[in-house]
Amino acid sequence: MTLLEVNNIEMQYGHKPFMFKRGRKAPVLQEVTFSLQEGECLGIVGQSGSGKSTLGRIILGIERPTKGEVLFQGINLYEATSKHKKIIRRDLQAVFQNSYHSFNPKQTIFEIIEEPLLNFERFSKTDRQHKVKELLDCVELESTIAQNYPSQLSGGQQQRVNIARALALNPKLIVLDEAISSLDMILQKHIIQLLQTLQKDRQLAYIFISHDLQATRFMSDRVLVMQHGQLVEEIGKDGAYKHLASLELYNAILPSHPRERTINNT
Amino acid sequence: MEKVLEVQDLTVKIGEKNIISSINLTAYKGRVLGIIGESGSGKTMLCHAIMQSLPASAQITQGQIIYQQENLLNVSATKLRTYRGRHLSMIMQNPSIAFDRIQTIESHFRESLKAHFVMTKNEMRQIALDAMDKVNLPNPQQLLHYYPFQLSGGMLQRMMIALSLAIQASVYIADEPTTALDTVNQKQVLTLFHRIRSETEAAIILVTHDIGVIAELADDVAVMYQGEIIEHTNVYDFFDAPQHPYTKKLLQSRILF
Repeated sequence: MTLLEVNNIEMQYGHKPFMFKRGRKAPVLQEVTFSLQEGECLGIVGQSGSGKSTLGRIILGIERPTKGEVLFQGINLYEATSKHKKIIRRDLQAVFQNSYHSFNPKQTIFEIIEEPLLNFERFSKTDRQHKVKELLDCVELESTIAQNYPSQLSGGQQQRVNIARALALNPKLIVLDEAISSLDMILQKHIIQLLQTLQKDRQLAYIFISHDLQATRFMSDRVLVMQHGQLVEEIGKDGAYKHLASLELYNAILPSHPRERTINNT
Repeated sequence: MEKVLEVQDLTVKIGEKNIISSINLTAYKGRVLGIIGESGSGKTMLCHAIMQSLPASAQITQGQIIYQQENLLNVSATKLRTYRGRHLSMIMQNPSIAFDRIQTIESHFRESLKAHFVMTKNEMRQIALDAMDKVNLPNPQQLLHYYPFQLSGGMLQRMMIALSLAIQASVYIADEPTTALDTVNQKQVLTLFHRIRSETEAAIILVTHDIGVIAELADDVAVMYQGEIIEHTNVYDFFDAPQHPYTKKLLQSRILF
């Protein structure tokens, strides 16, 4: 079943003309159309400035596009009634790159993960405690961590708390915007494996936004390549590509052994 | 192989805690020394210790840093100033913070050049243009009048390398120079370091957590773990015959992709 449909999205930043000032508009996204099935992982790659993150924010409903529509489970994100909006908020979650900045520094980890439960569920306090413990377990964190503050955790732990919070309401889709880019390699591997097991267990769909083609291809069923605000190519499981933008991203993949060096030969 | 910089038995403490424990390293002329380790392993502290720009709470309790037969820990402040910047140049991780946002690119070049050389404005401008040209920045003439926020992250990182190139440092210490960049810009910056290595014969110390960067550029590798160097070998031995269990774990994290 189709979970998400993005139709002809256009986005412009800028300001309107005012008195003697001419208006200015910078197109960020143009004619972006794609759809996502339930339980699918879709990768979106592109260089910085290609509009990946803006697209992610539009899908999440944080920013309203200038043109076009986003249908989540058949409901238009920007014309939904407040009742529908509540359902969308529940089924659509996000994990961002900068894990620390997505927390309230004055809340403990327990309060952070508990918050979505308070907003959407009617649990008793003991039930909530159980649920938070279960979620921490899910992301392979000790339950003793719940009493700590975000600043006391390492980057990898913080990112896991972010994932636990996103999982709290059993969402259908999680948008991962550069979720692993700021972590070191060993942690990246851990988080990717964690995301994959969670996907299998819970029938989650992901939108994995990254500039790292290698990690994205490993994670995703198919990968969309973006350039200058447009989707230029879709790379399937077979990995065949034609467009120059994809070639550029492929060329930028670093070797896994010094024998395969590319810089020295050019 | 000619030794340029030697770190002997270096220990850095914050309070009673060892941040870096007796580290030995050697950087050779025209070679890239890659230092790899996870976050929190003390990589950045090591860079700052070599540059002697440690935070006030951290102290070097023992060891030597030898450059041109002199121990940098014992030289006078005046002499250290000439070494720092002129001979040892540091390239930071986050280019958008490292620049002064109310100065133009040209005044950044002027400030750095004035600190170490006596020359006219025109000469300085010419050196700046040449350096920018070397790092493949488009339209150097125009860029001179730009402010840092008008450039993208990749361009700023190349600008930072251009600043070091203008001064012709003999040791480049690059602390995670590509972590904040996307993969395409990362490749460009690494290519640049390769050119610096082959053209200027400078020694480059490259700190990273990415094995791909090591595979692409390093000649020697030092693995850092909890403030210690647990393995220090040639890059081929690092990949083909890792000794320490942590190194093996590190290499496995790459094979996944």
